[in-house]
Amino acid sequence: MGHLDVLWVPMLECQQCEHDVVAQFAILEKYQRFWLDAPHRAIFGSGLARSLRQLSQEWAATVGASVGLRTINERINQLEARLSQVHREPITDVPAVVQFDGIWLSTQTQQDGIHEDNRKRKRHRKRGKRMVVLVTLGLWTDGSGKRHILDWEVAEKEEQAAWERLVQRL
Amino acid sequence: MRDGTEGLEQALDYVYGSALLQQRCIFHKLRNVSGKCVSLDRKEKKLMMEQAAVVYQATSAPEAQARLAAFAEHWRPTQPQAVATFEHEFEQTIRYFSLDGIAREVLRSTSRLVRSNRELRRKFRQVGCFSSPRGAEVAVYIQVTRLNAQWARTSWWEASHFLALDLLNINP
Repeated sequence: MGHLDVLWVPMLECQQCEHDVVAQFAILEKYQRFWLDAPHRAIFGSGLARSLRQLSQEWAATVGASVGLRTINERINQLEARLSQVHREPITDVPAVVQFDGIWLSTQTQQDGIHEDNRKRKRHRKRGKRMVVLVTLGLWTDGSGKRHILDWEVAEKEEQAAWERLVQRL
Repeated sequence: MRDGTEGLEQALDYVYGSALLQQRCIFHKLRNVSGKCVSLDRKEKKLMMEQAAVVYQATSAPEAQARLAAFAEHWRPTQPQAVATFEHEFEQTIRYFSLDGIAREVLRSTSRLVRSNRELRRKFRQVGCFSSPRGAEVAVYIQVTRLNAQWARTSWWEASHFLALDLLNINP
């Protein structure tokens, strides 16, 4: 792993018709900036509660150039595409006990209107908002000590409708 | 197992009806009782909460009811609000007596979930404020996957590798 200054990727040509042959290079593509396990490193670090800034420094040291926070964040947030499927996964092993609780966090939501930031860039107005994550934990009482977070729901408040969406999915 | 949130109780009733045995968390109950104490110094409050905890050390539901009555008689003159909080929906906190064969520690409080939520909170604190609800949802997903892997005795390195492979499948 590291920074390759000059990397030549072979161009293939058909000997009969002299046309270019498209070859898939599994390890490196032309102009590829990040290595294949970069998303893995990002997810791994994020799971250990490392900040984007820390991850950025780690990547920058490896590729030998600065890496934007947004670049890393966008890569991690691509996991959003999996969420609908994850919430629909059936529970095959049913736990005897299910615990429910809510935990609060802060997010920003986009508002109407544009403003200029300190560096004169145009940005959407944002507003802080408290949201709650409703969590269900399954516990098995067969002596295995098994536990598993069955599902969760990000909601605006701990209201019946939000809990119902989660409970209906279980 | 749940805390006293009304919306949750209504949702569970709506979806499962009476088929589900709901147990209120005794830890949340005792914390609410403690929060209603007034004009007590630390020593008196400690004594009161110790006596409140003794109620849940009963071996049967009628015994727990009797202990609550004794507790209420002693503390009602000076701590009416705390006693009223304790008595409010008290039966929901002792339903575990009707279940045999399941360890009481699992049934009486949501402490295991509270501990899991502490792990989620660690990530929330590091971020401070998520730039979007989408980011928050993904962060929760990653933390949930990590915790589930940890409980299944799988390394986070391995589990995160599978997530990354999923990413490649989504966006090759």
